[in-house]
Amino acid sequence: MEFKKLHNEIEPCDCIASAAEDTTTIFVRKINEPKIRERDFRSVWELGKAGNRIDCNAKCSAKGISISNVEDRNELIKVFKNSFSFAPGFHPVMCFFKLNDGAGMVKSTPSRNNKYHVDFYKCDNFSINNLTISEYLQLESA
Amino acid sequence: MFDAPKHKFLIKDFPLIKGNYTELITEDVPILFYGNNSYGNIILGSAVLENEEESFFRFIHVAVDNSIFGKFINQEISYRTILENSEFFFLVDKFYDDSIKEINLCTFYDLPEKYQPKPDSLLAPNVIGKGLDYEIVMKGGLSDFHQILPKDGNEVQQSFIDAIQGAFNTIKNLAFKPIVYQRPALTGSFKLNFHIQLNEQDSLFPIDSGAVTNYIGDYLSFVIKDLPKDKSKSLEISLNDSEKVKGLETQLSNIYTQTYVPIPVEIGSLLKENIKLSAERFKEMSEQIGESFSTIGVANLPSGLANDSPQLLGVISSEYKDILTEKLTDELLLEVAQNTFVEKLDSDDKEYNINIFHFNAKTGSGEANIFEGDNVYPVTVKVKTKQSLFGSVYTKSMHEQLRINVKARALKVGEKYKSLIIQD
Repeated sequence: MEFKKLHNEIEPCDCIASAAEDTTTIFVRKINEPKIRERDFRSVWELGKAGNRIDCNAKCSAKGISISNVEDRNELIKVFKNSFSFAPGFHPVMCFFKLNDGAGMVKSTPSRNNKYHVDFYKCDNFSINNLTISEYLQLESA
Repeated sequence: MFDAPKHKFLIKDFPLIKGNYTELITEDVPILFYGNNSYGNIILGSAVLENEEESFFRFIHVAVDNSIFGKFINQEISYRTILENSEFFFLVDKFYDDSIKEINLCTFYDLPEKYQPKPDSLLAPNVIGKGLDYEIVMKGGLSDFHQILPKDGNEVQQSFIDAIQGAFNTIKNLAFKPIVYQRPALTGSFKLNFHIQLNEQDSLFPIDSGAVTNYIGDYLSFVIKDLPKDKSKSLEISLNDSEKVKGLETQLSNIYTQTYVPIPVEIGSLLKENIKLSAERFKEMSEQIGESFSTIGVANLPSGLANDSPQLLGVISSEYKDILTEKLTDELLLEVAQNTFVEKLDSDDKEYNINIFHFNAKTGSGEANIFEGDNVYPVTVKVKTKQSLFGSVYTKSMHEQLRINVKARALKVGEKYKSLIIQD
């Protein structure tokens, strides 16, 4: 797997130094509609929201895709139900998936409001065909 | 997607956050956040939607006063309630690169139901560990001009250090020598920064400093935020009934168990007595509210996690003082009713091993812990002497957290130590 796109513009940062491949864990990405599209896997950086990030952790975080591991399904739903209560119209669908071989690498990056948070670093050839989708869950009915 | 109602307003930068920006819930974009605008108002905001066709995010920005903000942070009112009760708020549309597309005025009922925050939009209790850095943020009054009266600042500073001491008292038997450092003050409106260094000492079994860090944060959060919520009950009843106090007791017991240090026999009483002491100190802080500031926020700075910013543990308003005074009065009445309020002063001096953690060298009054075996009893202390107490063993005990032996007469309520009187 190559990560030239990932490190473009942020060298010498090495985002995958402590990341690993993981094709067994079920992950979740919050999206707008119950149908995954390529645009749902665009990073904050790709959207142009990089801002003035100085250190490598922040740069890598903006280059990565925010996903969450489903270590405890009920607890994770509780985390997203809480953010849903404030912003019910913002990305109201949980998309459950596994990463296929060669999709990219993941790194655990817990945040204060979501201890299951993971940064997903797409490899250069990533497409949504590298995902095995298992479920869409509307937070309204969760 | 829905069209924002087109209204013009005069002060273009009023809705925008220019300082103290803090994200409370973050996903790809900030879901819930707050900060100050250029005019010093608190702006609370949330994400509304993403418009994929036009490549922008829409956010709500609402101006709130200190009291409403405090209630929101303390989980007493929902975000929806704030919006419903606001005459208007702002819809701020931002392109993906964060540049402003458009700002419009809006009322809650302009929002289609699908986008209206839910009735349960209350801040969730923090699930992640805390750090050892704290911020005291004063707002309102003179503090909004980045200045406060020195006496008010000094009192807040000392009271906060003494309040933390209550949490330290409960872990006294462990191999720690915690010290609170004050760090350079920053503006905004007016901030004091503190750092706790646990100073782990040599011991056979390592102490889980993460668990201790979380415990101290949860302890302070309980005293600031949860204790005053239970307005109708005496302090004693509030503490006995509280599930959170039971939770703190479990946390504390686990810390002792993990380090193979015997759990103090009366760990529940030790915890409750120290919570009372800390509450008294926060009450003193709230007594300073007036000309210099109208609220005091206490924030914890989590460490070691990505993308973190200060998290408010709670906001102390002048109500804190009123509620605590009532609770303490109720407690006194309850003791009288139960006939336990019989004070008895020892006739002779006895030797006590104590550590003084709060002491006024001018008046000779302070607070200390008595150590007897594995038990620790918090008491008030009064030193009667004609000599100056500045630089005395008592101030040394406080500053260096030293245990000293003193000869004193104890005042007891029933079998419970209340005060030590030292005739020097």
